[in-house]
Amino acid sequence: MRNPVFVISVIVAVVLAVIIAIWFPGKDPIMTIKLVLSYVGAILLFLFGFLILAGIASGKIDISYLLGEHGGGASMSRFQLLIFTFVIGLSFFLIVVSTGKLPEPTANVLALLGISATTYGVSKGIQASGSDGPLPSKLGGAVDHHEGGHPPEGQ
Amino acid sequence: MQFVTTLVRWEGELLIVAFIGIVLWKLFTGGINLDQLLEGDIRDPHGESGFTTYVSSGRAQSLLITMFAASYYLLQVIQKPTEFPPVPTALVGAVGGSQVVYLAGKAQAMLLGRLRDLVQ
Repeated sequence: MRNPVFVISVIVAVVLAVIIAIWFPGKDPIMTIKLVLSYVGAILLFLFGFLILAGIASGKIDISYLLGEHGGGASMSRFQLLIFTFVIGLSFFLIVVSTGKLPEPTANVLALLGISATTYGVSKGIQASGSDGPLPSKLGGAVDHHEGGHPPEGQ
Repeated sequence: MQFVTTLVRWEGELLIVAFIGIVLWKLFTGGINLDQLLEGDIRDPHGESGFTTYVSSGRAQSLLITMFAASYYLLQVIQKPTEFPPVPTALVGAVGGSQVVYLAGKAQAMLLGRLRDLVQ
């Protein structure tokens, strides 16, 4: 078994949902099924999210090059996208906690995220067209963990 | 059904806050590499690989504008957490302009190199 925690999470979610269904039997069987499916979905999503967060926190999922760019240093455009995403995420959290409703994003908020994401894309394009290989000038600061001095592809 | 809705809401909020917390913690403790955030590569015919590193003013101004815009927005939300606050058009323009400056500087550095090398 490659990832026993994952399988255990799925089993726990299904068992919990069945217990809830038996514990709170409704008069309408369709409603009961809907309720069970809702609980399975909610519990599974939370467990998957929790597993990913636990992996990141423990270091099993390596995010040390989350902000890394092709040459090995940190990317300003990635950093900016991260900051704006966190600000919007935190705002979303605060608004939902205080009102209990999902807020409507405004055009300017989307514009801020759009500018940031576009910058990241254009920056990648410039980087790709400017150099064919890794940029050895950056090797001094960030090559300690990977041979070749640049983050692995896909990070 | 009301309890499921509440459960999903709290789950989502918990995951968002935990994710932000973990990433910030890794940022502050060095778990996420921030080396050379303010340094860029520039084409250099005299360099060993054709490129050298330089301190980029474009990156520095982009960092300042980003932190300013992010703090401004977050403060607005903290003061009135009932809806996404409107962002002044001037601020959006400033962020956009800052990115144009950053990208222009990066394009010049990566594609052309130092201006004084071009003149020579």
